[in-house]
Amino acid sequence: MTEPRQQGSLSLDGIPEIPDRVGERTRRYQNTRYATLYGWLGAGEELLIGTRFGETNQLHLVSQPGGARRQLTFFDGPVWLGRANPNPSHRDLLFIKDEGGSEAYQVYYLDLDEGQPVLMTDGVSRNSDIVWSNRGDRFAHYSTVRNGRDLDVWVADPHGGAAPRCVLEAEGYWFPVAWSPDGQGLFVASDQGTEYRTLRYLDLSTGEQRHLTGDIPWDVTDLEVSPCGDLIAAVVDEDGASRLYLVGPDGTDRRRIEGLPMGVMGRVLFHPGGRLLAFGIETPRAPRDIYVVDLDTGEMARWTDSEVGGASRAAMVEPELVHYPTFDEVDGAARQISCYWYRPSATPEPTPVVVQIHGGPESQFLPSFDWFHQFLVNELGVSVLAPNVRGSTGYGKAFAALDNGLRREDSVRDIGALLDWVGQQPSLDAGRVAVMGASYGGYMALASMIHYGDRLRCGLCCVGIGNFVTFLENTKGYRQDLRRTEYGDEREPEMRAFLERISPTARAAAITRPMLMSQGLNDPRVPASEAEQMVATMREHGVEVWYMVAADEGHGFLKKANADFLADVQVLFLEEHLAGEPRREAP
Amino acid sequence: MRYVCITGRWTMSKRAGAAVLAALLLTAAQTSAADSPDSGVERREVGNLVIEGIPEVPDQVKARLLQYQNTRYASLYGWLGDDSGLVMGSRFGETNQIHYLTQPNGARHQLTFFAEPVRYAAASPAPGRRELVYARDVGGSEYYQLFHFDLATGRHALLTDGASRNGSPVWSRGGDRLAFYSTARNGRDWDLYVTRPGREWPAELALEVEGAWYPMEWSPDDRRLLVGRYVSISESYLYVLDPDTGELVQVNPTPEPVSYRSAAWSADGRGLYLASDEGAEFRTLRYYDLAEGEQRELSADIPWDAGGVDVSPQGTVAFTTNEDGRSRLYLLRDGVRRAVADLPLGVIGGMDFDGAGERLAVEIETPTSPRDLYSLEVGTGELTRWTWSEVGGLDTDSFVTPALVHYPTFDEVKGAPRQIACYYWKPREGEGPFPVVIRIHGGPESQYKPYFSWLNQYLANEMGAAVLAPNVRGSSGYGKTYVKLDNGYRREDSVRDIGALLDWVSEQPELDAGRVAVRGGSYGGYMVLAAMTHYSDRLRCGISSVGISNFVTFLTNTKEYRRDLRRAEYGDERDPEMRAFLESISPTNNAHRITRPMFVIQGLNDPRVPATEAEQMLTAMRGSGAEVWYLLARDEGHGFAKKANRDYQTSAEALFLERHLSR
Repeated sequence: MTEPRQQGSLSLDGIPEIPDRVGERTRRYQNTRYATLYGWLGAGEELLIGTRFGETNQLHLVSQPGGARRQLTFFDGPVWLGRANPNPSHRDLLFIKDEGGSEAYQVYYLDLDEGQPVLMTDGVSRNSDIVWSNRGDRFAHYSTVRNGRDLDVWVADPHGGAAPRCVLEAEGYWFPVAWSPDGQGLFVASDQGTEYRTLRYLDLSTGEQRHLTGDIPWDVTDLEVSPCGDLIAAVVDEDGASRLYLVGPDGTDRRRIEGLPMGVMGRVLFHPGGRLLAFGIETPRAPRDIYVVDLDTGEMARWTDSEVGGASRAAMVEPELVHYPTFDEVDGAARQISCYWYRPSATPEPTPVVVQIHGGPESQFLPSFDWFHQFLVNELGVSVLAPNVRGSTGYGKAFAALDNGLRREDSVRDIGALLDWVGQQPSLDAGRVAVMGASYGGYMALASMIHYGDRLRCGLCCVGIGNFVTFLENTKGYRQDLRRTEYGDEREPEMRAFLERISPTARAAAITRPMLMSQGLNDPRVPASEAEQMVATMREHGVEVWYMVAADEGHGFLKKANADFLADVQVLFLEEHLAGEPRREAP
Repeated sequence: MRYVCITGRWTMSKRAGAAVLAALLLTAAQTSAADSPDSGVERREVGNLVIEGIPEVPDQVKARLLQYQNTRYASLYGWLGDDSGLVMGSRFGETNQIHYLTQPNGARHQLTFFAEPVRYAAASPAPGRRELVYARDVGGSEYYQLFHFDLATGRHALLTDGASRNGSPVWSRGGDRLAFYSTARNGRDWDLYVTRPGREWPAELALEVEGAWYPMEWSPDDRRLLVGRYVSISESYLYVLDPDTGELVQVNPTPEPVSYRSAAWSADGRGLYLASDEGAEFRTLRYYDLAEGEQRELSADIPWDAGGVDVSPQGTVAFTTNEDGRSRLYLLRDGVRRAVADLPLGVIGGMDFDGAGERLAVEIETPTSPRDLYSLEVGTGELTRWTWSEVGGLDTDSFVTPALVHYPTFDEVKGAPRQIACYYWKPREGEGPFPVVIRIHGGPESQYKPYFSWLNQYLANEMGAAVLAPNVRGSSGYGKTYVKLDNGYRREDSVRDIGALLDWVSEQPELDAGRVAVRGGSYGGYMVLAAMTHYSDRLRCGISSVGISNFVTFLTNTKEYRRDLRRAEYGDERDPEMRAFLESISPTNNAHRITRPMFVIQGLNDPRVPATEAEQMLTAMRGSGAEVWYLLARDEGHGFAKKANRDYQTSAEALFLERHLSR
């Protein structure tokens, strides 16, 4: 076995030297840009976007589909947010920036005809969530200026007129959402009384709600009202992929915009003229880019085309959405679990499989862009399966609760059912399956290795929850009760005994196949000592374990250099334990 | 298609000749430096930078510079083979990388993401092939390696040996072969090689040579290769090589040495268009018939040098002339020559006809706008701008356009004092008298042109300093006599031209002759050091970047592949009399005469002017008690190519000038 060694802030134990060829291949996928929509500028001639050319995200203008991203700001630190003035006769904007990662976000005003940004806030407190008034003469934002703790709501005039004033002084976390056009009511997405979050109109005087998408059995994730109030755009999360609907304010004339790529949408913004709609969408094949749809013709134009390193765009794979049956029944039939399947096109079948399990667990695997999945498919010839097992969001309130408390391991059984399904697919090699996940997904990877060790080749666990009792005890006060709703109350003896029993720390000896464990030394939620203890237990039983600890990370690998290195280790681990012999480089 | 202009700048340009010239001018060599000369001066290190005697740069200096330092440039690498767009170079982050554009004002779509800069790239001219060849080195070593990049697969393949110096990659028109030069055989001579896209080293040796040879262009039928050989600014040769048989035929053998700059095949492959100074003071464009051995003048009536030339597959010829630093563009069709009107007034760099011969892509740079890409509709003369490179969000309308002035110097031409051309950036605000920064170009066989310089704009707009950029004797662009006026024993005549400029400054009421600084890089760094030794009492301070400090050590230590070429300019240091002369004029031997503050800047891996040149100068100056600031970058060569290093360099320079010139 390789001697333990130190590499910068990383402690590497049991991990072989990473050959240069691995990094050379992964680098091509890692230099990825994203475009973020910040608004239509002026009368809608240009889009204000955020993207990163150098080290940090900055403001840019784009004036045509596929047009140049012309950089407007050049700060060392990132611009976190931009908002163009909605008044068509103005070419000005607001943006948020901090100094040196302090998170003391400040609001700046930039008039594009003047050139120099003007600081709008005190330079010290934390400010964000800018909302322009409809006329573009003032804006609302939150600020901690009063006491450095509470988020009050403020209104200010960017053009130097009236002094900023606090319009809501409150305790806790308050923020402005939108200015009224007329003040009669609100459009909201809510799950009050329904299984899914639906779009409603809330009449402020009567308190009555009118359902506008009550018949769509999926969650509404975003909504936007057109400038003259005649249309509402609503984004719906349909089995992970975003759908865009337009609906009249009274719920009539609803239609779905067709022709969207499969992916995950961010903000949608009406053009000042009201007939074009801009939105950001990220697809499995491309990072988040900006599109504009013509609402009259349905024509879609792609305004940005962000880079994925030097990797070939054409080679990127779109996953297939499949459903597999699991152990229990719904309405007399086997319950179906949704799963995204990234399938190599050029690899001889059956292909090896990586099962990617998301964290949360109240979260959802979405078909967003992930270079690592594309790398596995294109470079290692591996199929990636990403299931949304019970407990995931996006499938209704009841489904999200199916793994709570004593039903924790029912979600692990959904992985077992996936392995059964893999065994039935001629194109997949049931003899070469790996599981990987981070955080709660790391728990799932460990639990899968414990329960289905004989059907798995190896496992990859990053900052995985090893013990639910210590995890709950280490969770910050304000989140503790929320987490107890999910996992159970560890102060109750019976629940404590259950949680101890199912925790991987207690059952590490049941793991018999190679594991890659990665951990942040400063993780406040999952103590590094638990990972170490599991590593020791597994090694006592002769299991090969690659163990990597980052001294400068917490619950996750956030520094690019660390995350990039971890990816290289993961690739090598999969090459050695899953894919068989590494494929040769093309001549 | 292909082939264009030569710029005097040391960045690699799309043309074989340019790269070659760039490699040879200026200076060179390698060092083990970085160990401090025992100076007693505090040395601190920040990343790859080694810093001595430089105070902390205040945040306010950095803040003023920030937008200027965020200037981008676009470099033309040519049309994609299917004419679907342009391949270009630009810097989004730290270093220049390859991008492509599919429409005017379109997104610059980045293709490469290396920490080290890409120096040059060329797209396969074959229709339907989306492939590139590009050159990249490490840490400024100039040991360029060539790589093949296939856009369809995203894969890169090394074509060269990974160790020697390689360059001038030239695609065959069918896109199936690549010619280039390499010093792989002995580290000195530039042999010619031919390989295939994606094939690993070794390539086929097409011609073993002595000296600096380089491929220029494949013949229209891809069977012959036009080859250049560079000896000096006044002497170069052209050949036609059959790479399959090794048969080599010299073009236009002459008894007297001739200087060729650009050359390109005619569309029918029967002749060449070439810029030559045979029998003339200036280089003019000629058509040379290969079978007859005869040439026909095409620009003899234009009393300036012809620069780049490109020929479309349909036979249209584009060429530029260099008129006192400013470029003019001409088109030749069906025997008719016409000047292209209404171009922005500035400097034209690379040019490339598309495959259909309908559009000519050109690089244009003006004093108020960075180098950007345009296309010229050959039929209508309509000009379309493709890129708008950023200047840190600044309004470039407020930028200064330099005036061209001429000042008299010590000797005479036809009974009147010789006049030296000089570009003059005058601050917009205020009446003066303004402090002055004199910028001296390198080469010396080069020329200060009205390029875009953010530093000059910063000096004029933010520091209220006038900038003077003279083309002293020895500069190119003013005829073949003028370029030799500083050769050998006449080296210091060019320094006297700086003295004459100081005289002129003292006669201008708007300029403050009591506050003058000199700044230059490479050979211009020598000029700064020499000016500081000769005119120390009339100069406030000097900035020398990668400057020669001693011609004997320089010639001894510069890389072998360029040594003989530099002897042609400076003299042969092996000749005792010349050696004594070179020693006597070298700044290291006159350092005691430098009494004013100096800022010395150097790249550790510089193959032209070795870092030892800087360090020996430092030691000599400190011996006489002058204030010296020193900046050494461990990951740079002949000039800084990484943004973070450049940003530190320029902010330290701004601080140096604020302290020693403004006050």
